[in-house]
Amino acid sequence: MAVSAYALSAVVTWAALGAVLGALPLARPALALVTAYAAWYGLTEAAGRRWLPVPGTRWQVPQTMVVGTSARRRLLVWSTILGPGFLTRNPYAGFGLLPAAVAAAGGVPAAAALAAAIGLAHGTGRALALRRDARPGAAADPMRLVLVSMYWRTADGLALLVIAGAAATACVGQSW
Amino acid sequence: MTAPLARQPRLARRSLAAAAMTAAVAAGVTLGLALSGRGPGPAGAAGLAASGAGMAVAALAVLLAAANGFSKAYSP
Repeated sequence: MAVSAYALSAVVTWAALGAVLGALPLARPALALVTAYAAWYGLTEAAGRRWLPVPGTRWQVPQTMVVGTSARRRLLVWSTILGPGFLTRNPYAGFGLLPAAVAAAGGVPAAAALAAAIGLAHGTGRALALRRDARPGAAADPMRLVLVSMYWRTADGLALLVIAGAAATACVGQSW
Repeated sequence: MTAPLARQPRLARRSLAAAAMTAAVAAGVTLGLALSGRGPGPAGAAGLAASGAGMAVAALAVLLAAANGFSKAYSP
């Protein structure tokens, strides 16, 4: 139930964003942006440096929106905000690449389809992470959390570098 | 001339990180080159949909989205 709520709200939100971005003539500049962003933040994260802060928000859900409310309303609030991922803290740079990748898709159908797939993947992943963290015995050991976040940051950086390589190839291929 | 003993692990870590970063970029370029000739998308397609390399970027972006969602600890 929770997984589908998160995935559904993420798909709807991302698909709407994809339709808007796909209607704009942004494919070429966005592809160049994807390449530069992935290369820069890939190097930053994989090297363990902080040359520039990760783009994103530090806004968090106010307690008044969820405390003392029904379970259905809490699920609605959490899934609407956490599923798409825009209004929550994103500790890694990979998330910031996704809207640029959607803008680079080219055309409304391609951008909406890519955005919907991204929303489905993010929303499902977020819901599964919450389920993982809610397991008994998964109590937060601060040192372990720091270590795990360092590993994720490195993995995110390496994934960004793979994308940078592929996107650079696509850029060169389209400029010929 | 060898580095002082205490600096060797740091140098090893940096070398390993540099090798991993180089391998990651090389993997991306290889993937892009391997797929770039695999036919463009629909006629008149632009951007990522226009080439195999672009489609690879799109697929990697979806995987990145899943990893980003799953990697977040409980911090709404």
